[in-house]
Amino acid sequence: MRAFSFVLLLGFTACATTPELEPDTRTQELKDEIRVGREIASRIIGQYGLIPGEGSQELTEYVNLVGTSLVPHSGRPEVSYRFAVLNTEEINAFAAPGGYLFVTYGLLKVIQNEDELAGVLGHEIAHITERHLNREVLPKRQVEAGEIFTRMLSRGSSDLAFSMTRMVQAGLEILLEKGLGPEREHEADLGGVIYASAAGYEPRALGSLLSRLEKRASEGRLPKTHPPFPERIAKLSATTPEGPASSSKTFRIRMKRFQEVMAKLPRRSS
Amino acid sequence: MKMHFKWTLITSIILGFVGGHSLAEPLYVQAAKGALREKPELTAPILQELPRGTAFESIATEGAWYRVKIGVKTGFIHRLFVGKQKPLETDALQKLGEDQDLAKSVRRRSSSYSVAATTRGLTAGNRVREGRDRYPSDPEALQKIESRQIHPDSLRKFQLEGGLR
Repeated sequence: MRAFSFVLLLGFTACATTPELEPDTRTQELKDEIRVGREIASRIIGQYGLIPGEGSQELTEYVNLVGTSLVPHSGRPEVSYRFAVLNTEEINAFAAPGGYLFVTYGLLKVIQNEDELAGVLGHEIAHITERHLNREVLPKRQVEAGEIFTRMLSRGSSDLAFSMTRMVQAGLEILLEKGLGPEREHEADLGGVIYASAAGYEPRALGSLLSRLEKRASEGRLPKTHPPFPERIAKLSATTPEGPASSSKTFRIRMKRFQEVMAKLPRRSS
Repeated sequence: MKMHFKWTLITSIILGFVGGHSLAEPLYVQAAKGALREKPELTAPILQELPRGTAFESIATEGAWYRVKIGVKTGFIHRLFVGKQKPLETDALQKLGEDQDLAKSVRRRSSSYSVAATTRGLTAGNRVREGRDRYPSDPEALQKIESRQIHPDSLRKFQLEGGLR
C-alpha cells in the first residue's frame, strides 16, 4: 500500500508541472509583482539617486527609446517597462520586478555604442521575462499539487507568513549584495543577445562590451554580484555568431546618436 | 489474484500519468513576433514570423531552442520568446502600476502575500527593520520615472532611423 501511494504521488507530481492559470490569477500575480517591484525600485533610487543636471533628461529619454524598442521582442511584452539612469560611477545595471530597469552612469561611460546599450537593457529585460528575482522573493499564488504533497510530507513546518517588507528586503539584498547567481546571469546574457538581435541590433555587441569590462575588472568598480567575465564571455560566444561586429550604415547612425546624447552630459571627475 | 490486480492498477496509473505527461504541453509565442528559424541559430534564415499567442507543440529541444512544426514548416524557435501560459492582453494591464499608491504600499502588509509560501531562508523582525534604514526610498523620483511617456511617433521615428524592426 505504501508503494502504491508513492507511485500515485509521483504521478500527481509529474502531472502538476504546468497548471493552466486563469487570466485573473495571472493579472493579480503581475499586480503583486509591480507592488513589490515599485518598492524595490524606489529604494534602489534612494541608494544611488537619478542622474541630475543638464543632458540627463535627454539621456533618460534616449535610454527609454532603446529599451522600449526591445520590449515587443521580449518574452513579456505586456509588462510596462521603465528605464532610468542612476547617479553612480559604479558599473552596474539592475532589474526590479514589474519592469523597473536601471543602468548606472558608470556603465554608460564604458559603453561605446547603442548596440552595446541594447545588449545591457536586453539582459535586464531577460531578468524580468524569466522572473529571476520573483522566484527568489515572491510567493506563488497558485500552489502546485507537487508542492502540496511536499508540504504534507514536511508536516507543514514551513513558516507561511510572508510580508511585503521582507520580500523587498530580500530583493534588495540579492540585487545589491548577493547577486542572482551565475546560472541566471548567463541566461540574462543570452536574453540580452536574443532580444537585442530580434529588434535589429548587432548580436555581438554585448560580447564586445563584456570583453572591455573584463579588462577593467582590475579597477575594482565592477560588481561582485555577477559571475566572472571570462566565464560570461565563454558562455555567450557559444551562442553568438562568429566574426567582427557590424559596421553597417544603420549601426553607425545608432553609434552616432549614442555618442551625441552622452556628449551632452557635463564632464565630471570619476 | 488480488496482488495481480494491484500491480495492474499501479502500472495503468504510471502509464496514464507518464503517457499523459509525455504528450507535448502547448507552448505559446509571448513576443510580438517569434521568429521560426531554419536552424537553431540566431542568424539562421527566418522561415516565418509567428504572432503573439500562436500555440504550438515542441517536437524536440536543441539547447535553448524548441524544434516545432507549424503547418508544413518545421523549424526552431528560441525558448526566451515562448511560455507555457497564454499571453496576457496588454491593454488591460497598461495602468496596473500607476493605480497603486506607493506611500501606502510601503506600510501595507498585504494579505495577498500571506498566501502559502515558503520562507526561502528569510528571517523576520530586526533584520527587516534594519533593512528599511539601510535602503532609504525615494518615491518622488520613482513617480517621475513612472510619469515618463514615450510618444509612439517618436519611438517609430527612432526605430526607422536606426534600422530597427
